[in-house]
Amino acid sequence: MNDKTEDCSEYVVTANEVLSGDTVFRNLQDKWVRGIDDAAVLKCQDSGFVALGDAQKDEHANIVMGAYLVEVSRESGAIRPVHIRERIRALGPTVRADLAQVAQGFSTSEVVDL
Amino acid sequence: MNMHVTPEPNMYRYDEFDRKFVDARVEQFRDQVARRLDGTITEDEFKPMRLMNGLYHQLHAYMLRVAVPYGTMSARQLNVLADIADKYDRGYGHWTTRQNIQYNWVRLEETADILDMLAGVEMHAIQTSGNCIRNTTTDPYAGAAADELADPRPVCELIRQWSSLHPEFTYLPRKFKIAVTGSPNDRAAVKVHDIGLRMHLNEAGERGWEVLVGGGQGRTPMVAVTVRDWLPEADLLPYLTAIMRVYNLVGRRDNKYKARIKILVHEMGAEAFSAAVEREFAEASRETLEVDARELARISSYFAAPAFETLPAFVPEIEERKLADRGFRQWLTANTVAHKVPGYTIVNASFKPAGGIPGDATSEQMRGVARLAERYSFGEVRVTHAQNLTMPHVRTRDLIEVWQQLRDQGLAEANIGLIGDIISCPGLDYCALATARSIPVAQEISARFADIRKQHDVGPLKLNISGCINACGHHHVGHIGILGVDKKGKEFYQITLGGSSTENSSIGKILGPGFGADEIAGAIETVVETYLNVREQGEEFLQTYRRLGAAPFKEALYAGN
Repeated sequence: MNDKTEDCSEYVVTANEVLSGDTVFRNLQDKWVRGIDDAAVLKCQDSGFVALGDAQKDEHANIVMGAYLVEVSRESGAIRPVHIRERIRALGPTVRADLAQVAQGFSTSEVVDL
Repeated sequence: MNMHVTPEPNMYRYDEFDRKFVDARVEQFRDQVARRLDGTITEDEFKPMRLMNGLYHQLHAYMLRVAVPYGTMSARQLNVLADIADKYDRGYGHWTTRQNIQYNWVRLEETADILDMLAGVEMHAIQTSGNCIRNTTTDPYAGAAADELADPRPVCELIRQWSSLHPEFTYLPRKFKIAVTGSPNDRAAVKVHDIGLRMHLNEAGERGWEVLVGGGQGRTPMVAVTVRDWLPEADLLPYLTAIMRVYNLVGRRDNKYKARIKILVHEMGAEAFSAAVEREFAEASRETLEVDARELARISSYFAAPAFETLPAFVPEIEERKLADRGFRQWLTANTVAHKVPGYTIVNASFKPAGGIPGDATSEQMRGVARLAERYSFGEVRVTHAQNLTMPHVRTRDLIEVWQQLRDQGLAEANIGLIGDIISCPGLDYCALATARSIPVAQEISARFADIRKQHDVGPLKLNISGCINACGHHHVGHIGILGVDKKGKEFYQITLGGSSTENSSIGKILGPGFGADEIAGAIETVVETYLNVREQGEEFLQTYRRLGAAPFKEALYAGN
C-alpha cells in the first residue's frame, strides 16, 4: 500500500433503516444506532470500505438501505460529519431544534431494534 | 341539541369507480410494502412502486406527498390532513409550490394506513411523483375571483381523470406538469409549466383555450411558447393527447437533464414542434377523446357556485374598522382579494410568519382553518402555489371575525404578495437533492422585514428561494430569486432579478457573484433599499427593474469590490 496516496481521514458507516427510513450509523458491535456519537469511527478509507462491505450484508437482509461512508472529524469529542449535508442528515433539520436527533428522545446509545 | 353538520363544498365527488379504484390501490400498496419488508422485493424494485404512490425517501426519513387536486379541498379533508400529521407524522405538514402537502417523517410500515385515511375522504398520493402527468394546478381563486372568465376547475378535473393512470403516459421521458388559468391575470404560472392552458372567450361567448408548451424552471428555465391561440374546448383532450404523443415518442430519454418537453420544443424549434403536434392531432382518432359537452357539463355541475346570499357590497362596519385600525387595514389590503359576487371576499391565511418556516402548517393551524372554512367559507379551502391557504367565499361582513380568528392562530400576517410572503423549498434541511439550505435564508430575510409597514411601503415583491438548481422554490420567476449552491462544501447564494410567473412571465437574470450564508440577507436588504431609492411614484419592484435593468442593483452590491 502506498501511504502517500492513502486517504487517512476518519469515516463512519451510515445507512437508512428500511422500516422507519431513519438515518442510522454502524457501531463497534456491528449494530445500527441512531446517534452518530455512538458510531464506530474508522481510520482511513480502506478500513472504511471493509466495514462498509460488512454493513451491506444488512442491506441484503433488508434491515437498512443505501449504506455508505461519511467522512467525519472530532469536535470537542463529538463525532461530526465534515460536509454540511451529512451533518444535517446526522443531526436533523437546523430549523427545528425540537426535531434534532438528540431532542427527539433517542438515547445516543439506543440500538435500532432489529 | 344542536347538531353540527360540516358543510360539503361544491367540488368533484368520487363515483363508485373512483372509490373502488383508490381503495384497491391502497391495498395494492399495502401488499407491496409487506413484500418490501419481508424481503420479497428489493429497494430497487420497490422504489418505482413507492414513488408512484407519492412516497419518497428524503434526507432524514420517508416523505409522503399527498395530492390536493388543483389545490381545492374541503374542511373535512383538511381535518383529516391534520389528523394524519398528528397520528403519523410530527404534528405538521408542508404546503408545496404545486398546491400539495408533504409529510416529512412518515414510517414505511404505516404508509398504507395513511393512504387508507386519505381514501376515506377521497384523496390519494397517486402521481405525485414519477415520470407521469402530475397534479394539475390552477388559480387558487378559481370559481371566486372577480377577474376570471369562468371557473377553470372543471377542465382541471377533466384533465385529472384523463391523465390518471393513462396507460400511454405513465412512463414519460420525465415528469410532466400542467397548469390552467381561467383568468387573464395569471395566478397559476401557466407560462412556466410543461403545458399551460389559458382560457379565452370568443365573440359568441364560447370558451376556448390558448395552449402553451415548453415552459419550465429547473436547470434550464424557459418561458412556454403558444402553439395554439384558440382551441375549441371539445378538442382539448385530443390536442393534449397529440402533444403527449409527440413528446413521448421524440422526447429524449438518454439524458434526464434534457428530457423535459421544454428541451424538445427548444431543440425542434417551436414551429416544427407545433407542426408535429398538428399532424398527430389530425391523424389521431378523436372519437373517444373528444370532450363530450354532456360529460363536461356533468363534471361542471360538481363545481356549481355555492348558495351565495344577496348581500350589499359596501359594509359600513368594515369601512369604519378599516379607517380606525391600521392592522386590519393592512390585512385587508394584502390578504384579501375581490370576489365575483358582491358582499363576498376571498381571504388568504398567511403561513409566512416573520422569521417562520414558509409553508409549514401545524395540525392545530390546519384544524383552525378548517373550522373557519366550515363557518365562513362554505367548507372550502384552497392551497396556493405560494404555500398559503385560501378561503374563497367569505362574506365581507364577516371579515373582522375571520381576521381576528386567523390572528389568534398566527395566520394573519398582512404580507400576501409582499416580501415576507417568501416561497421556499424545503432545501437542505429536508431534501436529499438540495445543495444548500433555503429555509434559514427565508427566515432571516422575513425577520429583517418583519415590520409590516415597511413591507407595505416596499409594495408587491415576490421573493423565491430554491436550495438547488431543480428550482422547487421557483427562484427563476421571483422578482428577486435566490438559488443556494454548494461551493467547495460551503453554502453560497446567487441572486437573480426580474423573474415573473404571471401573464408577462420572464426568467430572472443572475445579478453577479453569489453571497455566503451570512451575507445573503444583507444583500437582499441592499437590493430592496436600492429599489426604494430609484423607484418612481407608484412603481412596483418589477417595473423598476424592467425600466432600469440590473445596473443600479449591481452598483449597490458590487461597486466596493
